[in-house]
Amino acid sequence: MRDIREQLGKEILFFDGAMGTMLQRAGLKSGELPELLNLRSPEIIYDIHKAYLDAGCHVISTNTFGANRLKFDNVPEIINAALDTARRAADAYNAYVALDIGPTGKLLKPLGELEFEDAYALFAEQVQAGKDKADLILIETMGDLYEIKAAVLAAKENSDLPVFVTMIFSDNGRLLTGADATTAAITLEALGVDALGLNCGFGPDAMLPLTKELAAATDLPLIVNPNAGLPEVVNGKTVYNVLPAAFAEKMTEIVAAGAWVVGGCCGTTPEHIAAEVAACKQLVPVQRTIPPFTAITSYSQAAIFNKKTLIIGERINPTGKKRFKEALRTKDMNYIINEGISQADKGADILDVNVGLPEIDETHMLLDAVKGLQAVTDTPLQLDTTDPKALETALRAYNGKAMINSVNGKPESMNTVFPLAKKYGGVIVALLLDENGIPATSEGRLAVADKIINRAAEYGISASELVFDPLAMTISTDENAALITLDTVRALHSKGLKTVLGVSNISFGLPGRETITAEFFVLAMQAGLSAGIVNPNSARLMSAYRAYNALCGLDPSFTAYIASEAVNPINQTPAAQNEKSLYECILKGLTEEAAARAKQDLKTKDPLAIIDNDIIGALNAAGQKFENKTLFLPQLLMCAEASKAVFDVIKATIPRENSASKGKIVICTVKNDIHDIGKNIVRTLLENYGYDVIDLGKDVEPSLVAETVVQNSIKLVGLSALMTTTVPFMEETVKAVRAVAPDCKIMVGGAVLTQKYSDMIGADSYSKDAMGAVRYAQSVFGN
Amino acid sequence: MNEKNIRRYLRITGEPDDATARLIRECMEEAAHTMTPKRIFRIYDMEMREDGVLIGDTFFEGTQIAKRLQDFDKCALMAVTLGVPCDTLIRKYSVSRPSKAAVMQAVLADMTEDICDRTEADIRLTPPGYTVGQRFSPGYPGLPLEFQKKIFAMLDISKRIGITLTATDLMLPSKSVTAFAGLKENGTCEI
Repeated sequence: MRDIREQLGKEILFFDGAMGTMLQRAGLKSGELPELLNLRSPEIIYDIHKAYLDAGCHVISTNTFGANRLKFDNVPEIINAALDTARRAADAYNAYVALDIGPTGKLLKPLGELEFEDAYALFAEQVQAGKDKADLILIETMGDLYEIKAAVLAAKENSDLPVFVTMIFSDNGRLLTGADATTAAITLEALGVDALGLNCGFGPDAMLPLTKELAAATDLPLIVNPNAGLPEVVNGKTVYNVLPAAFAEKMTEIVAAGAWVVGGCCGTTPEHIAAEVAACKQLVPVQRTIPPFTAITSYSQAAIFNKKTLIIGERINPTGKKRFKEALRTKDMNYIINEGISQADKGADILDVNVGLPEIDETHMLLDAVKGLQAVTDTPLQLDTTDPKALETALRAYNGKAMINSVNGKPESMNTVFPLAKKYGGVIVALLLDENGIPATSEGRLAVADKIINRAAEYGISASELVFDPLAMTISTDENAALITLDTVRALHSKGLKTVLGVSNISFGLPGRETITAEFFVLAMQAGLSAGIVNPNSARLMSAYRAYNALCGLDPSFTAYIASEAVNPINQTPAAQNEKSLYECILKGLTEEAAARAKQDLKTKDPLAIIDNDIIGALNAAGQKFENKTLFLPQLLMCAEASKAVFDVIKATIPRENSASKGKIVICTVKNDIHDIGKNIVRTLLENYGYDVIDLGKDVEPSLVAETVVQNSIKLVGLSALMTTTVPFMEETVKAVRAVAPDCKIMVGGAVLTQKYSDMIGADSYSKDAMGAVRYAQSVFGN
Repeated sequence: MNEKNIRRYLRITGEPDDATARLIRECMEEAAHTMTPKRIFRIYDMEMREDGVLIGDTFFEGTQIAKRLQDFDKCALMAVTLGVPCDTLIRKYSVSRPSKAAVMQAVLADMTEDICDRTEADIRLTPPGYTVGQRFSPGYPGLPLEFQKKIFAMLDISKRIGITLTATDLMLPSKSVTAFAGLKENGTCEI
């Protein structure tokens, strides 16, 4: 049979309609698993396929929507039977059979429990079972870009079949996990799908605007399989109220908007498809040409390289940063993640992630950093590594279309990076240097750019997927360095190519670096710079950036400029900031003031005295007020945040500050419980009282707690549980710890816990709140 | 939203200080922008059995559920969620600002309750002439979490509003609720 890809765009192709609706007509009860009918009653399935083929569809989908190992032990058997039936029906009509793959029904981590690679394995099993008898793979009703990525990789790595993906959007025009249609289209195109589109969720009416949005974002073939309207319950039965004629009429508009493949989803019947075929088959597929554009995505938003220069935050990088290196060595992931959050809050459009240090395992660290950052921020990431294994691992796990930093004109660099970029998708930073070093002239750098473009094309990567870095070199060693770089930016810009610069390099070795850097950034923007790798925490630089945008008509109504200038520290008198004592700043929870004050105090005071007097003093005062109910949880935590900021300042001054540790404590939320707010509050307070906390997270195996206790010679463990159903696991954990470390003390807490429960399961102490945990720790460690 | 409830969740008695009050307002605003609430419900005929109750085609075993529904004629099942992005918000602030995480948690809990109330109001409007009883959920005493699987299948919850069940029948996104509510015929039309 002809490859369906060759038919796309030549004529309108038709998918079948609903399977579930037809099965209910045939008597399937709600709650019964339709996939079992492939084995029990294949004739029912055959008749449904045949009815759709008689209606005129070109592609039928197998009855395998939920046929995965989470629901069935005999996946290959079910899929095989489904394909046999579909094949038997389709072959008589010379029609295509799509192996239908629906979502797993679970949320992937970090939103849910399912590991990305486990989702991949579920899909891979389905693909392997069906690839020999199917003509294409239809991944459908997907509401999460990450799950789509797992399914597409499984399809492409385990078969050569065409891969079609259709997604279900909510009425806010977004996927369940937040992506709009444009972001979804960019991401799927990067993954190399053959066609993409919409199914389920809405009737054809509501799908029209989404079809238009997709049509403007990608020139890939579009598929639209709507429901027959929205579901309504009438007399206990779910019904859909758009009748075949009205459905078909609306579908002609969807075809006019650019869809090349149409069919139906829930509520549609052979009658709907027959009407749709009659109305649409004479229509000519609309040929769309989208001007190439450069964009990366996260799981929910896109960063599009446009007229306005994008800010790429440079702070997640150990170069020249004592505190950051310390965080990498001690795997202090929260420190690294907070560097990301604060840059995103300050206006970074993209975050560069560089966690390479000679003495650490960069592959694992980069993977953890990417996962950790994507658990808390939807700002797209730029993966910054020279280690190919670290790059591939991170690209695979990244949720979205990443930016890759970097490739250069050396053959081995291009041979390593381009295949990975092609496979996983990604916009690549191309450094304009090669085996002969950095060309001294603008012409020389442009020649390297040409070489890189040509080589990328051989891998099927277009120039729009490249962003060129003409290399900002410090002017302190060559006073013409900036001019050469700016010339190169200008020349690349005039060719319609995108550019990026590590802007801060320009001022290396000079006093007043922020001034030179900010002015250079403005010049580069004027030369057409597409993105700057900069420090978003530099008020001077961000101020220049926002002023430039305001001056160039890139900030409508000056919204961004006005909002940022209102809080710009440059506009505040320094005297007003530091009137309060450090103790007072911490007690009041004034994080920024406390950090600034600590920096000053450190010039004259001993760090340990600051910890004991100001930090612990303020925390104790707040803790006492909390216990007396004259101060409440949010204030107590604000006080803790301020003291953490002060700790960070102290650590940056004396990085290996271990003398301040008052003892090591292991904490976690017990197995099967996923509530960790209370546990996190306890951690925050314990840390601020100077304890080292090993936080094992939530849903933790008792054996892991026991192992950690032994490995670290732990004297105190804290366990949290919120559900009555998980208290038994708390007891199990207590026993596991007692078995290996009888002297280790165990404190417990959580909404359902009481002193009685605590005694019953054999814990040493029950804490009714976070301060209780601190008090008990103090008694255990005698401090 | 009800600031009083939020304060109660945070165990704040009396007026909060300025910083906390500001935090509550900030969280209310951010939560309103972030949430993607969804809700569904369906009303079923039911039949009391000796060891439980048949709701639609599905049997729920247990004396507690039978007791809670015994005075009613029909049973509504509902499911609501604030959506996935709210969980990300809590995770973010747990790392960057624990005080805001705690307040956000309280704000989102109140928003979830609010959407449950609205769903209950819709149920009340649906069949004319019925009174709706107090709603109750799996996880209440005597109502095992295993009921979740059945409720999820009956309402097709995962596909329709995107809530998923963990291996131990907890819901994700975490700001989600399922509930039963009995309906009793009045004889007169309320509306």
